[in-house]
Amino acid sequence: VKLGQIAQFIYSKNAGPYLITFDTVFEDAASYEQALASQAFTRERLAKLFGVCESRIVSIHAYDAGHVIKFTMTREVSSGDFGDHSVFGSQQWAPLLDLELVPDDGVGTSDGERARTA
Amino acid sequence: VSHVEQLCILGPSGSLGYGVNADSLERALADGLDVIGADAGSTDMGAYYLGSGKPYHSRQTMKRDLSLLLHAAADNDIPLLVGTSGGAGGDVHLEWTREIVREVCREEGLHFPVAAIRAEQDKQFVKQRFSEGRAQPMVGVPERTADDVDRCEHVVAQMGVEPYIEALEQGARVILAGRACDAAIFAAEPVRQGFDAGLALHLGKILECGAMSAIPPTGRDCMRGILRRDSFEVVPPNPERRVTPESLAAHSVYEVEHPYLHGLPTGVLDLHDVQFRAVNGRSTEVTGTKFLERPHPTLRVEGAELRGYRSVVLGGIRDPQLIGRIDDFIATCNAQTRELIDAGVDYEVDWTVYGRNGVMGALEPSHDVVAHELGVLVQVLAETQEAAHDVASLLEARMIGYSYPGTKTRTANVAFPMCPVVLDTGPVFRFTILHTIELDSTDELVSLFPIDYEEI
Repeated sequence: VKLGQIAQFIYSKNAGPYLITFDTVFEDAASYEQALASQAFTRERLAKLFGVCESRIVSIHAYDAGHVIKFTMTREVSSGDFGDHSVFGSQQWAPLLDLELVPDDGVGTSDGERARTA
Repeated sequence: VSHVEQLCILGPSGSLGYGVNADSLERALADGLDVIGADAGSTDMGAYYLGSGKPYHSRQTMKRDLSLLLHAAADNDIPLLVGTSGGAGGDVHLEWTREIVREVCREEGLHFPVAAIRAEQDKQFVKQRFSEGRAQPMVGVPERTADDVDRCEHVVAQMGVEPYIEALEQGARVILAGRACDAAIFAAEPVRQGFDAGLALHLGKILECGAMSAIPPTGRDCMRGILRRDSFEVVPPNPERRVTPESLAAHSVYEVEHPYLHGLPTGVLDLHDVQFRAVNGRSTEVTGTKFLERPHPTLRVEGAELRGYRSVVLGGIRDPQLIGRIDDFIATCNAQTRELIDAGVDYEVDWTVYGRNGVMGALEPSHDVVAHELGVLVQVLAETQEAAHDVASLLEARMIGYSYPGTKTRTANVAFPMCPVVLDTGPVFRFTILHTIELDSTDELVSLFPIDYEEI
């Protein structure tokens, strides 16, 4: 299953001029839990998907009440500076549509789940 | 401290100047309003507006929006609080907004005690906090020094509720402020009346985005909040929208790095134990927001530095062979241009290739170019507009004249959609300073934001 098949909304937006935050919103608890239980939202997977080093993923959070999984990445160029190509941080999320949700193998958890229970 | 049991507060839109929905405003007034807040700016659009002093919104739309809200305030005798005037909240943005308010009041016969609260900071003062090691960069912001502060054109600080409360205490009914925490605009009057700061600020954080927390979401419609002593309710005035526990919760994470914790000058808003309860099909009640006070207050400061001047060239390419060798095309144009420019002249060139990775740049995982046409945006940054224009003109000529083995065309490789081809877009700014500074005392939460009163 790919994230785009079970997510209700996926979007990216500035969280201040130096960060871009990516929100994935699920319509119900079942799809939210399915994504959370998979290996999809880990620093390693996300860094690889966007071709950045893991240190640029500053946080991964899961928010039960809103069925939201979000992660935040530092920008290479701050919003509106010369060389920035997306002033609002928008339209950076499309690769997430194809993020593969590997079924829970009972061994690992995503960073998001750890964040939730922390 | 008052003993009223609830306050009804309006967030007219996600940004004053987007165009207030007059029908929704009328409905909200009919349902009852005690306060109107209006967030007019952000750092979201980049540093150009703070750096240049230009307003983000059009004057015409701002005048229309302010006229609607000033009439609502006058007719119902309720205060109107504006924050981050003019898009960036510098002194010039505040004055621009105040001038529009004066004009509306003059033309439409309205009268208010008006307060204007400045947020622009003395650079010497900010530099000193940097020199003393009492300034921390926000997450993702590089380390900066006092010299970096000096290079900024303008430095503003985000005020909390305190200067607004001061102005309200002095009897102001229309309060125009420079850079302000979005939530504080809406929370100031409730906090003054002794309502819970956590709930008031949490509601403010929702209202500052207009109807973004509704289904369907939009920043271009009104949202109404009913703040009570131990809860608040969020109700969209527009009958075509509804607010559900899920939509409200999902909105909590919007535009912020952390879903539970939101920093403010005197503390942190903690949403960890928040409960959302559907009231009917259309509105949602919130309880459990906490406000954790800091031992020492801090202020967020923002400074915009001039990076240079920009000229741009926009073009399209349809030649399949040229599309196949786009990297050589770019490298050749750059190299030939560099040869023609004096060695002493510094400039940067940034190429955006739409149809390949124009949107995502280095973050783009797909490396194959499959498009049958490409859009090419060439941006030049130099110390003066003249120098930037000079480089862009030479690049334009190299783009036209680029030649390669086996070419089918004899001239004019690029389709330019505009005349003039080289566009001078003016100065480029960067948020060099995006820090929190420590304060000496809570007095500075007011004293750093001078208030000017006038009867309009």
